[in-house]
Amino acid sequence: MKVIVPLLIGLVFSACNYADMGGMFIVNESVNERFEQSIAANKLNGKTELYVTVDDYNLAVMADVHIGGTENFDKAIQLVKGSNTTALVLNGDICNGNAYDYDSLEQHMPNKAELPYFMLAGNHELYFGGWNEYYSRFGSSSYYFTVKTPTASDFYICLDTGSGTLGSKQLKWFKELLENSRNNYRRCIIFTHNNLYRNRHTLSTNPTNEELLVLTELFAKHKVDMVVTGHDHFKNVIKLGNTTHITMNALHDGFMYAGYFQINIKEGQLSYEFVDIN
Amino acid sequence: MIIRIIFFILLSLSCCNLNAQIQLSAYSDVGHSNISDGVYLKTAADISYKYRRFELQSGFQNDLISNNTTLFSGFKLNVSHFFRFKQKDYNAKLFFISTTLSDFILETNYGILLSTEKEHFNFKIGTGFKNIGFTKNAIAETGINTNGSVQEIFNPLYHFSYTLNKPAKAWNIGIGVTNIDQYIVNQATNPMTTVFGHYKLNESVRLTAEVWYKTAGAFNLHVNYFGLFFRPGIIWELK
Repeated sequence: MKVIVPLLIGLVFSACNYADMGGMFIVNESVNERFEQSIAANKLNGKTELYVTVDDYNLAVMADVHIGGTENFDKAIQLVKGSNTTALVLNGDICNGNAYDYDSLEQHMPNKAELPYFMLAGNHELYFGGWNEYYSRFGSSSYYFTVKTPTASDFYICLDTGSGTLGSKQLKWFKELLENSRNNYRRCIIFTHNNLYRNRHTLSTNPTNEELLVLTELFAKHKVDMVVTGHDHFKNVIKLGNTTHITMNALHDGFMYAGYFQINIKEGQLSYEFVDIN
Repeated sequence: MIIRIIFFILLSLSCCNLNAQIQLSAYSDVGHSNISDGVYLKTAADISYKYRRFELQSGFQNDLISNNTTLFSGFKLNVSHFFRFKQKDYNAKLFFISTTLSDFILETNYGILLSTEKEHFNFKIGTGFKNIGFTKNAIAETGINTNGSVQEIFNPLYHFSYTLNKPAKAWNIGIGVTNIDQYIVNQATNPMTTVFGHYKLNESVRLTAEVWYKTAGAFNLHVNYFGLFFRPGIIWELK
């Protein structure tokens, strides 16, 4: 028994290419370090403004694809391409963090000129030292973009919660961004991977309770319309004050409820739908 | 309101049986976290009244240095029952904790904890209910008119600790892991680690010290620092 238990633990730590068990104790980089790199990338790339020629538009959001498998991802991308979508947001856990997963992801990504996309890191992108792969291929995980219609502009903020916390630096940036810019826009929507509230009992982690309260207050004070998350793999909608909290269905292969999420802006009104791909 | 409740409890206790045991404790939290915007300092005081197999405990916390805009940031009320079952001592505690982050957010937690000790080990398990909502001020300021709160139900609660000495010793040090603290009830997936100790100055007074290390994302398998604080305190038993 004394031999079998350490052997089993060692096997789990070394052999799993889905979850990086060592990351429970030691990680390669902190969220503050990742945020600093993200800001450096933002300075290089400048801010992104999308222009649409009509007032109505929609965005597609996908999460928890967990490449490896790409069948559902390919299917969803084809559906999005055929639906006159303005942009695609990849909301974390798109791949499992191994270099070969990132290679596979890049091969299956849409052409950015054809379908603009925005990406942020979930916890799985960070496994197996995956942040360096992410950063070298996709750059920032903490940034914002805007969509400008003939009559108004909407504000979309992407946050890195791959470590289960925004970290002190990203939180400060986020607060300042809301304080300084939110009122310049009609709608404000947040994308981040970790779902904030627990509607069921799982082993997936949410931000700590203390951070949850701070974020809840920020969303209310700055009239954030929607927070779109993944991570939990099962869709859920919570309306808290003026903010609608969305948890999306996962999109990974073999998942019976696989789907993506669509944000619709029509005559200035915000609505949404869960798109089932099976 | 909180001051009134505590005053009422103190008044009630002063009228009670003189054979009962009253315990006062005071402590401070000095630390840093990802949300604290620098070093924070909180102070708290508890009073507990033990009579036969029951204990009533109440306490409050205030933020002296922090970005919390309210003076009283926490209030708690616990009722415990001590009992024996199959030659072992147990304590069943009903708890109620109310905390405010600011004049905007109000959080309440209530639940039950069952605890027992076995020489060097202390175990607590239980379940809790959490409600996060907006204050009247928030509702007035933001025009929130529906769904002012969110509930999380039957959250698993746990506390496991090991001490170097058995409880009867004058001093002790130990280590523990838990998701529940005096005024914090975390999700089960956000454990907090603590190293603690105490020294008995005399029959009535104990000095205590705790260091707490908090992480985020442990069960995401990409753990990150969340916070660290030191808690010196004193416990005074009135006999």
